[in-house]
Amino acid sequence: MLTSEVMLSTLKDAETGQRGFLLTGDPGYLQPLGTAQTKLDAELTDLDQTPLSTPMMAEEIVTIRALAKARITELGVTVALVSNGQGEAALRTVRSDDGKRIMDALRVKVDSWQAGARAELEQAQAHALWAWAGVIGTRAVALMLLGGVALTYRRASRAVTLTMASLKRFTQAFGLSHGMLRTKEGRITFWAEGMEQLYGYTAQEAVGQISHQLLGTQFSIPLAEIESAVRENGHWQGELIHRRRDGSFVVVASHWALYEGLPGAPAIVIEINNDITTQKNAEAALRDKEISLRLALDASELGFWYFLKTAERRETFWDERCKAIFGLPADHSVDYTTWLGMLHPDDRDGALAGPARASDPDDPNDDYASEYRVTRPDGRLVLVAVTGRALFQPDPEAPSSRRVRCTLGTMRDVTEIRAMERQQREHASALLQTIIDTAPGLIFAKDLGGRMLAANQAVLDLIGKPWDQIKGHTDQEFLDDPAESAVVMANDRRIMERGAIEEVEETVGSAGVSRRIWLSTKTPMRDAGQKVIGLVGVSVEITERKKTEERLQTLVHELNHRVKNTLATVQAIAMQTLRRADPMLRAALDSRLLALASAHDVLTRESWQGANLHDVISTALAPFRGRDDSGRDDTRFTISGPALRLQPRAALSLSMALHELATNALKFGALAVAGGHVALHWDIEETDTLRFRLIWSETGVRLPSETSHRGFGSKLIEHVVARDLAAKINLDFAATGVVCTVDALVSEIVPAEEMMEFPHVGRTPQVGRTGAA
Amino acid sequence: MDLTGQRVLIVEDEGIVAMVVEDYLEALGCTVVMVAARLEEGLAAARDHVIDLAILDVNLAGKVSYPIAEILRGRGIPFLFATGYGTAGLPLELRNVPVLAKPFRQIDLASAMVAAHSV
Repeated sequence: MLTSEVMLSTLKDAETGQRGFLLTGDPGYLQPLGTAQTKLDAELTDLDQTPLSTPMMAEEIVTIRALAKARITELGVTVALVSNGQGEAALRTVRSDDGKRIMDALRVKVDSWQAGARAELEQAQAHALWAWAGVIGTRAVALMLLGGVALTYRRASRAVTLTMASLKRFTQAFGLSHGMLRTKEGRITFWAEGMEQLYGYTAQEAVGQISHQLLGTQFSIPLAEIESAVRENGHWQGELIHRRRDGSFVVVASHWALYEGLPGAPAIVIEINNDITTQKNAEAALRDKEISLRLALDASELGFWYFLKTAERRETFWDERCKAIFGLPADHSVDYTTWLGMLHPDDRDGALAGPARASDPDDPNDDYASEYRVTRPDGRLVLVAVTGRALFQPDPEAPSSRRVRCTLGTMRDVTEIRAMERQQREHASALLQTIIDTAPGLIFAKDLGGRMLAANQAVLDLIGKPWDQIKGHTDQEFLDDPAESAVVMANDRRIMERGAIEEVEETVGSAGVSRRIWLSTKTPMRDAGQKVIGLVGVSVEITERKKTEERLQTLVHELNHRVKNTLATVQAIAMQTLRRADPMLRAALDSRLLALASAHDVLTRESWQGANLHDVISTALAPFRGRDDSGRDDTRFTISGPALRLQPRAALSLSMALHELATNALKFGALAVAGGHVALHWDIEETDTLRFRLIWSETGVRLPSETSHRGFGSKLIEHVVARDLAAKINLDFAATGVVCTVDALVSEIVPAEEMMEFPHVGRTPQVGRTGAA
Repeated sequence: MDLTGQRVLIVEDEGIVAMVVEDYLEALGCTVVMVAARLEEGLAAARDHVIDLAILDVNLAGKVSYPIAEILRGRGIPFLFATGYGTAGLPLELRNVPVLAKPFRQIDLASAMVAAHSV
């Protein structure tokens, strides 16, 4: 094998010489050719001598030999042609590529022969016929060399006859191989070319040195042990760390073989070192990766598994963690039946569905995830989460042109996690339920058909039925009063149709219980697409509030009634008391009391919030204003001014003032004479403040200038009303008729909340104007 | 319309007010048949007496006088309400009955009585 390599190299040398001669015509190039021819002869002889165990290999050698001969002959022929001036012919021969074809054939043969030789050596190793074979397993070239030596030794049981020189010649065949020869003491006697590449030392530097000193060998086991192994077994192999010339370190796979040599000759150690630093680093990196992967798997508590299913074989692999999850010992063998048998019967279908779908060639999703319960051998039930993926291989005949080859994935024991999650969910849900149940109102959700989806305890209590009689039913079905349920359901339908939140008052009770009133806020419930799918409602009971409101209403009503009744009683007492008094006096008192009562009527109508000035005037003047025959308003009055709401106190005061003015006019003024006229005007004037000004002015009256009627009426106006309204009042009993002006701050006579209606200074009051009232 | 000689039933739980009404009626030349202060009394009077017109207070010691109104209506006797409540509180079927808001003058009573006869 080695020889064959050398032979190829020799042929190359010969070719180089031939090419040099052909190109330059320089006969100097013919010398390497001649040398090569000689060398080839010797090498072919060596090749012949190589011990071979099979006839096939012998045949191979014959072919190699013939090809080598043919090649060297061809080279010789071209040289001869050129020498004889037949350059053209020589060139044709070269260009014919015959030479290349021969060389290619030769290369193929040599390779195959070498492979055969290697196989044979491996066989020898297997049979332990030759311990050395194991020494240098990786390097076919070296193996062939040593194999030759050993087989010869074994076969003939003779002393090895190779000389030191032939050994060296063989070792040259190491070529780029990294070998050295050294004495037993370690002194280097031969340093192959490859060693220089590996360590940086030239043969010159290395030869004669003690190798372990030169290379600073770091032994994985003590040197003495290695030497003892070499002595005992004739070889050793292991890993060493060497230091290069440049100081860097290199990890080598080192093979030592002891060659005793000729009797009497010194023993030689053959040491071949192969750089495995890269491989070591790669191994370390791979190991790191494996460790980190394992760490990751361990940290996530993931077990890894795969299930192989091909035409040839089915194989189930579970790592230890998978088995541990299933409660199986690490050495327990697992197959499909084992797995299926341990699944909870209720979960089997689910567990099978995922892988079946993922393995379906037509299904685009090759991944699945599922969870199922597993009954462990110890009886414990665990929840296992599995993620898997189906791997496919092309198969033109299968559906979707692919066939599942393997499913693989991870599994995890999620019993505790799920239990914890469930607990958290239950806790959150319980919390929510508690909040909902303790909320002081009804909380419920209904679907589009008005069927109850959810309800809190308050709802159940109100309806007086258990949840199972309410769930999925409508108000019509579970409420006792059909009238009540009809209203509720109509509200619900309207809110869901409009899709807008609404606040409604509803009456819902149960049979035998007094009616209860609820203020319900109902919100449409929507799906992800914003489509209304129901409603959520919250109802707060307002029965008491309503009752209070009603009571208050009744109270106000009753109070008004009482006031009127009291005025009636006062009137009655006064009339009875003054039974025999001056009828004029009785009438005056009577009419004043009635004016007061009428003003109260106005206020009662507005629940004492205030009174419209127009109403106050109309009521106060009603007894004085007649109608003509056609029903038209009394033309003796002109009344105009903007709409204005008065505080109750201002309304009462103005009523009384108007009553006195009108009474006076009826007795002595504009209403007592034909052609008399009363103009009543008011307005709001804006200066620094808003002021209310009202003028009562009579015309068409002619009175003696000295006439003065200042009595109770004028006192009432000038003092009582002035104080009540904080107004400046000017009451002028002029000969042409009474003129009374009232000037008050708007803020004094208008209810506080009505003041908001007035803009700030600089703008026209936003009050409507009306004509004659 | 001349109210002289009218036989009038007064249903009024407040004595002093009833007294004033009596005075007004006397002044108008009417005859007060009876002053009933309670519902039961009023019901009996409305059933049993010969009456030309009745003046009914609405609230009789916490009871409404409407049942009396039903009997009067059944007998075709004109009547009017004298009340501090106003018309707002009246039931629909009695809305057309004249209402006198307390307190009232004799003249107001007279026109209400005339109105009651013309209903």
